[in-house]
Formats: sequence, structure tokens, C-alpha cells
Amino acid sequence: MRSLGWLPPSVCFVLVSGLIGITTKVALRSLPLGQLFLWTAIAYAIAGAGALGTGAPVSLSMPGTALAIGTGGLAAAGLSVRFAALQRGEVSKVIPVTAAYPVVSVAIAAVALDEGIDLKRLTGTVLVVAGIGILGQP
Amino acid sequence: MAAAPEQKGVVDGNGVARASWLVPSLAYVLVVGMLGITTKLALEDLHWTELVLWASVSYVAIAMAMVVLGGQRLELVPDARWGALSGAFAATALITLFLALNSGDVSRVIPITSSYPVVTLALAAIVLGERVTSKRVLATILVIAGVILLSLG
Repeated sequence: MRSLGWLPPSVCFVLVSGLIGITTKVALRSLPLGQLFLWTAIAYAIAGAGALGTGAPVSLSMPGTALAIGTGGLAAAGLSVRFAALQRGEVSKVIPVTAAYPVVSVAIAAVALDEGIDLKRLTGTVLVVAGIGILGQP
Repeated sequence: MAAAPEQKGVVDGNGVARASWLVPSLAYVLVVGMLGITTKLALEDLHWTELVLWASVSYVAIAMAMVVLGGQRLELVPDARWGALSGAFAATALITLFLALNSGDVSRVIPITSSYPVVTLALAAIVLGERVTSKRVLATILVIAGVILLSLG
């Protein structure tokens, strides 16, 4: 029997990711964007300390470390614009649109990493764009 | 909790109504789409705990720059607890996704994790009193189905 060890963290991801939009929207009723950014930084600092606490070796392996630092920068930029989107729009519109980011990953992977685009991916892109088109209507 | 008012679309010079939330949402799609690539490339060299560590270092450094250069300060206003909770959820989401991908096949993990907008949609109606129309449900299903196809392609 295959291990189901991946299932609890997957379900946990769905729940916390589903909740983020709600708690962010409530927080932004009176909290400025910068404050929300700082609270998230505190949570990330705790997560980073936790990662250190696992005792796993920390390496300065290039380009991996540089890419990981870039990932943190992109995460910061991404969260900032998502906060701005949630401040301006309804959660039930913003979150489904922001969930479409794999389209960009697939497009960049096709161009930069030479990963092909097959019919399945093309169909997926069309469905995502159609969904965004519907949500984006005034 | 009462329904949060939506900032309505702005009207440009040609009289075309545009949703002001859409631009930052699409910017998020672009930025986090790139993040998917840097994450994948970083994990070729690093263990996932190292990725959490270095990504956290980078995020905290940007926050410290905001404090030092921008004069941003933490204020313990009543809604700060929601900000802290949102931050905790963001960090937890990052770790749980890495944990799931570390122990399971992408083809099993992604279809399940892609479904989180359904949770948001349900909670937006229950907690915030937002209107969840059949059009929004259909659009959310299209996006989730598309993301699953993209991830499994």
C-alpha cells in the first residue's frame, strides 16, 4: 500500500490557503498594507527559525541559494500585490484569479527550461484564461 | 461579520469600466508564476528546509528595509491579530506544500492543493457575506480545472 503521508499536509495547505484570503480581507479593513507585510515577515522569520531548528544542514550552494533568496523576494512582491488586490476587490473574485499563476510557470518553463507545451497544458491555459475572463467582468 | 464593501471599477478615458482589483491580481499571477520556476530550480541544489530558510531571510530583509528606510512600524491595533493570522497562514501554506511535495507525487498533490479557492469561496459567503453567484462558481471551477490540467501536463 502506498504511503499517504502527503495527504495531511495537502489538506492542511487547502485549509490554510483557503483561509488566507478571508483573514487578509478582514485585517485590511483597518490595517495598512505595510503592517500586514510586517506581520507576514514575523511569521516567515519564525518559519525560517523552525527550518534551522530541524537540524538540517545549511549550505551556500550556488545557484540554489541565490535562487532561494530570489524566491523570498518574489514571495514578498507577490504577497504585496495580493494584499493590494484584496484591499480593492471581493475575496471570491480575487482568490480564484490569483490561483491562476501556474499558467505563467508553464509558459516560462516552456521558454526558459525547454519544457514543451502539449494539448493538455494548452487546454488548461484556455480554461484558466476563460475563468479569469468571467471573473474580470465588471 | 458584515460584508466588506468592494471598491468598484474605475472608468478610463474611453469610458471603459475596469476592475481595479484585477491589475494587482494579474501582477500576483505573474510574480508567483516566476516564483514557481525559481523554487523548482532552487530545489535542484537545496533541501526544502534550506529553501524555507533562505526565502525567509530574503523576506525578512525586505521587511527590515521597510522599517529602516520607510519608517514602517508595527502597531498593535485590534485588527493586527488578523494580520498576524494571515502571516501565520502564509508561512504554514509554504511549509505544508513543500512537505506534501516532499512525500507525494506531484500528480496526486497538485489536484488536491489546487482546490483551495473552493474553501475561500465558501468562507467568503459564510464569513464575509459576499455574493457567491453561479458565474463565480463556474469561473472558479474553470480556473481550478485548468490549473490541474497545467500541473499534470
